[in-house]
Amino acid sequence: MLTTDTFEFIGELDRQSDISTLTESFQKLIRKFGLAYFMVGDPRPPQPDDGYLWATTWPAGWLERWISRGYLQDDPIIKKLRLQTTPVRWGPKEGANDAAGTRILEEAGEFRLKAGVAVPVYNRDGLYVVSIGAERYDLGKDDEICLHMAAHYFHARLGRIRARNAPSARGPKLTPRERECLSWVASGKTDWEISQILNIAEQTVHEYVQNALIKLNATTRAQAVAIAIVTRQILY
Amino acid sequence: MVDVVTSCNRHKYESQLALMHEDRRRIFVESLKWDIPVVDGRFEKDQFDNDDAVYLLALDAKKETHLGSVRLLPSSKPHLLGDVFPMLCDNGVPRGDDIWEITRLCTAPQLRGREAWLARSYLAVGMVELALLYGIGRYTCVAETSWLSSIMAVGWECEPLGLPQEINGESVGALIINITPATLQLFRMKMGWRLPVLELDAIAKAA
Repeated sequence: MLTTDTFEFIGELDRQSDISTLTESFQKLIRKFGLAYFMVGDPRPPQPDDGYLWATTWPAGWLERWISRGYLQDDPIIKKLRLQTTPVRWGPKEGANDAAGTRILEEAGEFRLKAGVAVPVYNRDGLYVVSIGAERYDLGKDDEICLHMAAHYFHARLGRIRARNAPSARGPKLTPRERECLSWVASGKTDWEISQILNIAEQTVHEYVQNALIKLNATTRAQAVAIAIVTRQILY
Repeated sequence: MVDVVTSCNRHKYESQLALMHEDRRRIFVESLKWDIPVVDGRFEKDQFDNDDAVYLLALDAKKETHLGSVRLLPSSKPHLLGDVFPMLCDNGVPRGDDIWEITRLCTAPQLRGREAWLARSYLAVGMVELALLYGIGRYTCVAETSWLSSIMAVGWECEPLGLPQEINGESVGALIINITPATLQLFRMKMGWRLPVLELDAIAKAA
């Protein structure tokens, strides 16, 4: 039973405030479970600069191949993760049910990733995954629960540190008033309604929204809202 | 603003509490499919909706619409973790005058986007303000493991009280959350306002 180690790991998290210390500490923990590699990331189409990979000790070469060959679409584990909120185990016995997926798992095996578990984590931005693997994976039920819990706390801690380190959104920045007006646009409010909520003139609201459109290089309000959400300038 | 409702001022909030119990039915019974009692086919209400419960109600300016709410129970009295889920605590259920339990936290189902965020934020700040006013140092709660990350993303400092267990097909665990004045500073900063959200008038009358 690795309960004590898991609780110790979680208890230490608050004192660790950089990604590399955290990576080391989680790596140490998974080794106690007999596992070798992990990766924490965002299973959405990778963009060159969007930092979708939070922390990883994945075998060198595998991640690069996975991205450059566009495996995101066919990865059988990610497909399963989108359908359930519980962890997905994979291995020789729990494989893919199509040829493309089977090939991806076989190739992962060549990088010494033959079995493991992928833990889905949801926060306001949607689905994230903490994936842990090795050449073999045979955890008992209790150890598995420990590992899942550790993965959630680890992810949450990483998220807080990322938020602290990178508070500035990418792209052109909106002013607080522009953000506020655009947030209400996103909630389906008209300029008149927004003017009543914020107690300012309707024309002023219109100008804030138009400025936001120009800054975001958007032609419609819907496009501006979408860009502002994706660049994390407004919450939805 | 967030109204504090206790057994002392409950008579003034009958209609708002009824709206809360109806929204709780829509959210917990109809949407989340929790196996919990429904009274008169309309109200989600259980044995912990009693005189010991303190409710925080996020209401509209006219106090006619329920925007969100949370139920707080002292751990020294019967409560969900102590009476229904004690097996989620590996080292016994934490009890004490300075430990209260958070249950039935929700926002009204019709709220979207910024409105929902605002209601959630008001309630979060309200819970911290109430903790500091009442001398509550720690909150406990029972949460689904898949929600842990979103709970912690808000800024709550959580520690697990035990290993999660599978209950009705979901992984569920008990948490303890530390509250300090720094928690209030952090929440107010993240949410972008500096004034208290609790109706102090209601607290004065309830105390």
